[in-house]
Amino acid sequence: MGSIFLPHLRTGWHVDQAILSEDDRLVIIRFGREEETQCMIMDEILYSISEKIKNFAVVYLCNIDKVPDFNAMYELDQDRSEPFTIMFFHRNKHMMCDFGTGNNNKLNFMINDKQELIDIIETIYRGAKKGKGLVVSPRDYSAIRRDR
Amino acid sequence: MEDYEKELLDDFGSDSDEHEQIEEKPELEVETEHEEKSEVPFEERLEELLRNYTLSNSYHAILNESNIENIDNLTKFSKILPLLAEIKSKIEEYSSHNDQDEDYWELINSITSDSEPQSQEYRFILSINELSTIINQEITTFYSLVKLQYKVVFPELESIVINPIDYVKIVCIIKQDLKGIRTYESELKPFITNEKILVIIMAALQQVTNQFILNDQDLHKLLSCCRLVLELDDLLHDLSSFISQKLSKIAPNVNAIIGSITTSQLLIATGSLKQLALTQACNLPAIGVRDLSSQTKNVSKVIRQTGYLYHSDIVKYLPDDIQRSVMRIISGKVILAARIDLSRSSPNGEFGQKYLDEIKLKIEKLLEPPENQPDKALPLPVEIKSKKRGGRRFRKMKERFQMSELRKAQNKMEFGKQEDSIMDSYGEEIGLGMSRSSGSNGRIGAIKINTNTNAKMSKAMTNRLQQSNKKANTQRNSIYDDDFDSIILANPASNKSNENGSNSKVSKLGGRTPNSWLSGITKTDDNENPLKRKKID
Repeated sequence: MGSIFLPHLRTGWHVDQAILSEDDRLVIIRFGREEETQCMIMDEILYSISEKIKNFAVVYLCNIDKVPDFNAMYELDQDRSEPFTIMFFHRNKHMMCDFGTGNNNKLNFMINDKQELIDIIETIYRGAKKGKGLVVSPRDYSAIRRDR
Repeated sequence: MEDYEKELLDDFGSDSDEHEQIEEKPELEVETEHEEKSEVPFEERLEELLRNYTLSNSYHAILNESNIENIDNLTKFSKILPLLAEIKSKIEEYSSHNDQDEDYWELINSITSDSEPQSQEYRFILSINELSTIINQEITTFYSLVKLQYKVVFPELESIVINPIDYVKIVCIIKQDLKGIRTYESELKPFITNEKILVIIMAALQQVTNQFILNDQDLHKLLSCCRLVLELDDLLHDLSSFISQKLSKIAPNVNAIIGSITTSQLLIATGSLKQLALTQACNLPAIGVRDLSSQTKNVSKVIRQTGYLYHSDIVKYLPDDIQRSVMRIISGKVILAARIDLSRSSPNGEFGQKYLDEIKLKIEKLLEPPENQPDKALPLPVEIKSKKRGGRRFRKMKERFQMSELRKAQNKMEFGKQEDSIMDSYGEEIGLGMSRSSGSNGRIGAIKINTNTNAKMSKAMTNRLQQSNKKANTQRNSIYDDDFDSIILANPASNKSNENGSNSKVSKLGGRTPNSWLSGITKTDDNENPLKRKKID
């Protein structure tokens, strides 16, 4: 239940400010519904690594029911099988990552290993520092099976 | 076996009259004994009891009795009961003793620590320690008797209430009235928790249907045993309060730390307060390791030194893993307190209290769970450029690992010609490719041979080799006298003056009559002229 300590973004304005305010850290925003199991698990994983990655990334949570402003723009809540959507920003720029899933814009599948998630965040941060907009994930997730 | 069978037969065959006779006899005997004993002074009887108890305790006595069921009064097996009143009166007497006398005795005791203490009071205190173990044994004996008999009435009670004293008290209160157990609730409350009472009531009400009712005689027997246990328990409390009162005067500071019982045990084990003060702190936990109180059977496997200190209240209930360190802390403070007591600088035990507070603070600290440290943040994943750059050395190093021209040529094949091949030592055929046929006459020399892979020596290494060579040569020179490298030619005319001196050896070489040609040959010493020597080399 540690994820309640992560900052929740209550309005669209908060989301904007979160993305804009960070100068040299990666902003990770999890869009989703906390009441859903998969999302809950992911929140816990994010919370457990949030202390470790605090030097180069910050994690925010956002409920897409309370803040529907971005649902159209970021194509959130389009696919019912999508448990959550994690997006990465650096200096107000959306960072893309090639997970091999076909959608480079977001991370929308379960990652149960904390180290794997840290590796992805580190890779994105490195790419962002070099001015890249798209990085390749350290692991290929094309074979990922989604529970429906 | 035969005796036992006989008795059984007797039992079956005997009339009721005979029964009465058998029952009456031991009672009479006991009474006569009692009368006889009362003439003997109390002290001697007490000592006798302590001496004999190990040989014949009351449990054995009861077990040896052939027909337990016929015995009217089980309490007569108690060895302490006849002494009970007298012990109590002694306690009264000694506790109201005036202090002056006691101080005098203490002074003597502390000075002549090795000699046998003379005071009767002191001897009584010493005997109390053993007495308490005997009383404890008797309590367990009669408790088990009560259990055996009460089992038919309320079997579950002994598993619900494990403490013997509480068990006996409950038996005294509810007797056989399981049905109306609810009415006794208020009586049980002072010494049993509410939840326990609830459990007892539930179990009792379930038991009501198949309860066995004892007859009055049996019940009377049972209750007399119960009363005995309670009396013994009272006596134990009296003794401990008496001891603590006494000890608070002898060793107030030690008493404040570890309590009266352990203090008395330690004092008795070491002999006197002075001896206790002289004991090293590290030895204190080992005192009384094989004591009687370790018969409780839950002796820890983790801790080796289960002595008096281990069984003191302050240590006993702590978790295993900190007991050892707590004992170490306590023993240090106990010895300090004993020294303070010996010097009488704190007669009210303030230091002991202070030490106890310190110890409790330390125990609390030990009991605290370890602080959980937060996750350490990972360092920034910034890529640092490698310090290795290109350059002559690096290029040369890479060249050494490059494929040579010859090898490249070997890997190529000429079109339309048969390839030359050789067999290697494993019998495998190795094609030579174009390495042979590249030139017009098929010679290897046509291809430039890679010189990069040749063995090379660094400048420093060549220098070092030269140095060591030189050294080896000089040594060789001094060892082998007839080294022809060092023979040099010189003009014999210029050396005429010292012909008889240093060159005498050489001239001998030439024969008896040195001719002019040989006289020009000299042998030089390398140490004199190293430069010349090098040139010849």
